[in-house]
Amino acid sequence: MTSVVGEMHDSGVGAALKRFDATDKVTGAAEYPADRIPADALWAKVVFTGQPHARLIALDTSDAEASPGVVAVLTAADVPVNEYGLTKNDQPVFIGTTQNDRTEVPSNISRWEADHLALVVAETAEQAEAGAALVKADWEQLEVLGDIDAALSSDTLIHPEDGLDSNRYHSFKIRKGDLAKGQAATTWVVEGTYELPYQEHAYLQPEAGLAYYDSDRRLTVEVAGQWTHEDRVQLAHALDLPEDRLRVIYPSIGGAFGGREDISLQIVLALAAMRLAEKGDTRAVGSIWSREESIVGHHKRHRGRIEATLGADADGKITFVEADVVLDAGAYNYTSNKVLGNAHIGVAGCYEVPNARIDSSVVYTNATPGGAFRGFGGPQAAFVAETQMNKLAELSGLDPIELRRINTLKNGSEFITQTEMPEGVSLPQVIDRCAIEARMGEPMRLASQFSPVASLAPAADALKRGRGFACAFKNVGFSFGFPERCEAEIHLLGGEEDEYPTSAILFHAGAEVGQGAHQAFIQMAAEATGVGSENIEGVFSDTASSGDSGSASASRLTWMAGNSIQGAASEAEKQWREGARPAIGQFRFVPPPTEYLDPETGAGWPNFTYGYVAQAIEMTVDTETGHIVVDRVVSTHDVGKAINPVLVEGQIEGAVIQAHGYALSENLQSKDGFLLNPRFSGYLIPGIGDIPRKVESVIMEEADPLGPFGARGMAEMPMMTYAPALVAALHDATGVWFDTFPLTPSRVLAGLKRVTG
Amino acid sequence: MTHPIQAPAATVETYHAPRTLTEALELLAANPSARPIAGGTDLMVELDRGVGAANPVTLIDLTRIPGLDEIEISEDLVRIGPLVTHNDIVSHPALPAIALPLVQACLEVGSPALRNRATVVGNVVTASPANDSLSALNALDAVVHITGPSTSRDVPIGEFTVGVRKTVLGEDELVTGISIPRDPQRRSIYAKLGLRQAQAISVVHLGVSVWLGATGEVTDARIAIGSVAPTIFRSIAAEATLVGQPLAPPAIGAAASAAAAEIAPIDDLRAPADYRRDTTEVLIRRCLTALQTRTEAQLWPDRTPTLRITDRQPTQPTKVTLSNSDAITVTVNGTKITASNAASLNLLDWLRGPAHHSDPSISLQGAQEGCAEGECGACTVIMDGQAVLSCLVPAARANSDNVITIEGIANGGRLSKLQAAFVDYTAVQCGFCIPGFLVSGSALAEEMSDPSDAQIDLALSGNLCRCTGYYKIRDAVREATRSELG
Repeated sequence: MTSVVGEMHDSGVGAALKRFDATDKVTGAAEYPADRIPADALWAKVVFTGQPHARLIALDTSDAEASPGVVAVLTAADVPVNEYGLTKNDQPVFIGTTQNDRTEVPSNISRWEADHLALVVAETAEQAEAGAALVKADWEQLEVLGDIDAALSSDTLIHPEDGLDSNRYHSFKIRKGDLAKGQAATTWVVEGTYELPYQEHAYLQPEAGLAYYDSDRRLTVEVAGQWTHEDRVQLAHALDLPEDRLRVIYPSIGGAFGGREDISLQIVLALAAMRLAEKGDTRAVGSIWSREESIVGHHKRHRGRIEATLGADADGKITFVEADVVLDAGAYNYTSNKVLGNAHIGVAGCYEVPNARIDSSVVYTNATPGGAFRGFGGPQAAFVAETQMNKLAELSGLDPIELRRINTLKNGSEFITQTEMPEGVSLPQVIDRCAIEARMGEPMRLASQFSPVASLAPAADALKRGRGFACAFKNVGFSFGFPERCEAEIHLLGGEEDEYPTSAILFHAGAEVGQGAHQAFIQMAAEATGVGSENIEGVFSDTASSGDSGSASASRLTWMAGNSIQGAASEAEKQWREGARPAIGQFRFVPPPTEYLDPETGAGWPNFTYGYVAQAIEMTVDTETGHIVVDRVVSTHDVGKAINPVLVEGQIEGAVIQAHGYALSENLQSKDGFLLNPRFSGYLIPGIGDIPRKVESVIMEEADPLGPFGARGMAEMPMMTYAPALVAALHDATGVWFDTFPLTPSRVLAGLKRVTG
Repeated sequence: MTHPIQAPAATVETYHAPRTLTEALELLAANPSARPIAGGTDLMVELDRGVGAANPVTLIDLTRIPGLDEIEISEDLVRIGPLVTHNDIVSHPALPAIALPLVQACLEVGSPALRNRATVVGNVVTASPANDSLSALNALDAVVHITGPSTSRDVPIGEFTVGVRKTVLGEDELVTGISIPRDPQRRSIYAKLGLRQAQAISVVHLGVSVWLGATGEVTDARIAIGSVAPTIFRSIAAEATLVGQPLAPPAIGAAASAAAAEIAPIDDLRAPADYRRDTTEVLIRRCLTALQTRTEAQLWPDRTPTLRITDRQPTQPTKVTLSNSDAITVTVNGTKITASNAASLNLLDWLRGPAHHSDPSISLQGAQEGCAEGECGACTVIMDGQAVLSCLVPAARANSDNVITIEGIANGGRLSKLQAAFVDYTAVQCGFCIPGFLVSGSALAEEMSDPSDAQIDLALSGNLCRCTGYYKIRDAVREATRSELG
């Protein structure tokens, strides 16, 4: 791809440039939301209800209001439309005793331990905290439905306003082919029941933000999020304001991974600034959550249970799949209905499946909400699908790679949703490349031994080694008919006499959550305009200056933004040729429309493109303590085109380690609606000493026909296959299958003992 | 009425920094509910969570008292002063030969920046059964020295702790040292099993000592196990099994089984009881085997990064007692900054709040709060020449000291070699954790050149990153710490 306007340079697509934001981030100059709170700001403290399921009888804020330094205590009565939600307005902004006719969600029921009861605003953070402790509430306890089993066996409904007779509130089906015919042709059958754990995002920056009126009297929120314009939509709804009177800005964001896709402090801070301004107090209002408030107060990767059956004929060709998927939505929907869709179409794996019955549903409970997290339902499904395939390989005696080769989706394959796969299915090449790089056909090379105890030498007799393989797809972009779009604006600058622009400005709302999106945007703009990266200024993540980009999620941002940037550059080029200075190009990119699945058969075209991944893992287990060390990971990705290869590598390495934590050590526990270990001392993400000894990132570039410069989305892919590949490696080492994880030492040891007695 | 995790922090109203032990004891006698503080790595977390009866709180900071941070080695004793930190123990050249389990245990506590503040005596006084040094000291027959307003007493370590976080220490008493008898015949080792390589609360930890007779038979033994009971558990049955037997597999196996049979651990979030029992047996067997094969010290590293650039030299502040609104003066990145709210804030909040806002030309918001419990390292700064976790340091403790933050790492506006390497290697993604990594990495670079990957990993073991996967960070640190000739 050559530039549409300017001269060639080497700072565009494919260049391993340094990040332009790195200098600020290594000097402490980068400003995260908490750093933006000015010295004279008021401080707000959100009061959580601490009630997984209870009816509010009375709320008394008088002591809090009288507390030193407190300037306001906001409650449900202060919210114009007391409800919000990313896909469904099912959550009150505040639990309260008042209810107006603008919402049907009963506001007097706390359904989650972190439901918000009030916001205490004071002169200092300490005074806000002291005031918050004085908010008094009387509760009538309701039956706490702490997990799926409790929610499905009780008559108590968490959202009776939905008019359903069960807490199971959203379902998908797949009825494909002829199950009986498939079963009749079956030689090998694998069955399993899999328990999928929570995962906490554990971004290093806890939620924080500030709200104020800008110089144009727009109610402005600065916060870390993933989609400025969607935040603004939800603000407008709850505050009953037109969108153009609201503004959302993202300063530096300290990680996200899906965990900032839903609202945290946005609405309550804007509400406080609005109500205080009505009283003449125009100071900014800021708030920072503690780590505990962050972990308790935002959603998680869904836990769930999947029962699955896989059949294959004597040659190993898949004959049928049956599956029942149940995910724990927690107290509110968040994106659970969408996450479920992803799990639903992923549970049959990345294979040609002629016959299938799949039933998937989400269930409301009084536990922490499930929501977006890197992979978005895909990792849970891929764990099941790939573990089933690896069990099939063991049962049939067929080579696990060969088994995948004969079943893999390829160009022209019919997908589980009974439509043809979008063009560019590179999975066969990805599987082969990973198998070659991992040397799957050869014996494993030696790895140095490890000891789980620092002061003790490795116990050679207790160590066993194994390796495992898994592959998967992950959709890129919004699915199931959700309106997908992305806008960009480019200004080409230069004199009238200049043949080519000398500099450019890119306006884009896409969120830089750490992944390097803005660096990639600049490089794509450089490629598209011919202006060198160093001469392109980016104006980012501000609803006041950019159109809607969609979210930083679904591995979509580089893909969608790249297409929008190409379009804007092309528009700007026309203007430039016509002599406009600056030459301004605006573009709204819309990909091919996707479809919702047929409610009875699951037929439809859910996604416009996919990314593909295969991983091979070699590991060692100490069979006397259950500790695992991963010796080698080969993570193979078709990225279509690496816009910046170093950033791609960074995404692979980072996601592999996040997946490593998911598979091994991150063990979030919940009981009766309360999280039991909401701290970094109890929820163990990997440190530098815990990571695999070696990660080999294999980057393939099989162009996506629709991708900008051929690029595919890739940021979620390493998350998909790690847990099943590790479980397969542990089985290879010990002969024991694990149908749940994380593979904590005690779980591993218990599993080994169960088999050996 | 709030959610339990939202309990308000305790307010520190008064902060005393006595200059003598006598003064400290007098203050304690006058304020029976005051909390003595040394490293503060446990207490600051408790205060932040509002744990403990007294609120508002008076702190008596012992760390300005000279002479209490000494390790005295005499012919028959090692005496550890009350301000001796875990890193003092880890880096002491003579201790591995004298008290191996203690140095091994101290290296397992937290991370380097935490070990620069956390004291061994503090670990003992906190008295959680998971505290690593307790089993080591138990296996070494340590004695706890206690001083009160009028009397002093010595208590064997096994009698000092009487329950989970309960000791025999009186309200008006201080622990003024721990002694370990020197015994050339004693052979000892410590082992810890956690759920992470570093910064892991012990699932099981234990100290084992044996004494061997002329013919290789065990004449005496100490087996002290932590995290399996409310206090450290001495397995008398296992010890008895060993005595009189040659230190060899039959007796080793029998002793390990005897210990596993004797303990009655509980289930908790980290592991079920069964797992503790099984791995206690495994660890005892492996420890005794290491003693049998004389490999107990084999894995003790030659040189362990401590992230200390200079010796700790706390200056004496002019004002000994501070109330919560008083100002303190700290030299931050070479500039003297005077700002208020000394007693009530931790150093991180003081830097980011009053100090940052004290002068528009000063920017001090690079250090970040990621956890407020010393786990993530995003708040790491240099104080008194060593890396510390600023969320766990009372701001008043920095009064009249030198502090270096991320903003002081660059050389007059030019990136340091390490900063440049982080940029060059794209070791930065969201960047929130990066100031902490850079402060730790800069301290490492000052402390040693050409560190091994193991030393780099140890130096950075207290810094969590969720974006990068650490590989590019490790590469950048390796590159920046490479000596010109090396």
